[in-house]
Amino acid sequence: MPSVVALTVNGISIEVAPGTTVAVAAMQVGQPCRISVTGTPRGPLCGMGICFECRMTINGVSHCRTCQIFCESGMDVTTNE
Amino acid sequence: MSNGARRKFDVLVVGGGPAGMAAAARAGESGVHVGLVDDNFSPGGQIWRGGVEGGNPHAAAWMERLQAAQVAKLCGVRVFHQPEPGLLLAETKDTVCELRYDKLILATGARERFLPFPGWTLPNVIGAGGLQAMVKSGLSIHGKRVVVAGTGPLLVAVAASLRKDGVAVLESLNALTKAKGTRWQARFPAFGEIKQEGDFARAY
Repeated sequence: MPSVVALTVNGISIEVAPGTTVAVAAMQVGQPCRISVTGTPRGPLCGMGICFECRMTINGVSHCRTCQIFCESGMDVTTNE
Repeated sequence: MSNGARRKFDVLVVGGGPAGMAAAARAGESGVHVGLVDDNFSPGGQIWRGGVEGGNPHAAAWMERLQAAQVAKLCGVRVFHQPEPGLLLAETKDTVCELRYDKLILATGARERFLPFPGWTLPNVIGAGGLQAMVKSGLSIHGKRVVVAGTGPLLVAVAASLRKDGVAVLESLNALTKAKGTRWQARFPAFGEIKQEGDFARAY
């Protein structure tokens, strides 16, 4: 297993330890997970896959619950709009 | 779990926390074919999140029993529908799978209840258990400034563990009665002084 995992969140490069969730990576670089229908930024709330506030687009797939997904090398993560 | 899998179990346990792990291990030890389903990456639930690999001896012991009882661990698998008796549909990262069973055990646990307040949807406003889960999922909080607020003894434990992780806990506020505060103080001496101020108690 590699000692670090490199990915991008909204184009910002970040390296995290293996086993780090995508939600955590987004928080570390200060990016919101999604933009609500009224245009306000949202971030993780429950941290355990229940509340769906941490939905992001991962490799083109929207509405991924990022607190339940590990970072993988080369992942392209963007705020869900 | 392979794509589009169809699996059949004598006993299917939904929820891989301590209760689900124990139920699955016991059932497996009696000789039946058992499946243990959980949305998370590994069994352990919220309480033992990260503890299975992280050296929690209780979690490790139950993992060994699951292994010995040949329980099929289906992780990263989320149940979403029961189209008919004896059948559950579940989704993985890539696909949907069918899980058939003779007996079903639900061990889906509990979760925090969030009561809305102005500002509660702002990023960096996080559930107390949620923050702990995120820390166990790699979030670095050393040197951060945190206000802990709400109700329940979990908050006191969260404030204590945050301090241990090098966080400046600016306030630890708990909506409770004086009588309850006194009971907690007696019950959880390790958490330090709990001081009553009006409707709130401050934990130190």
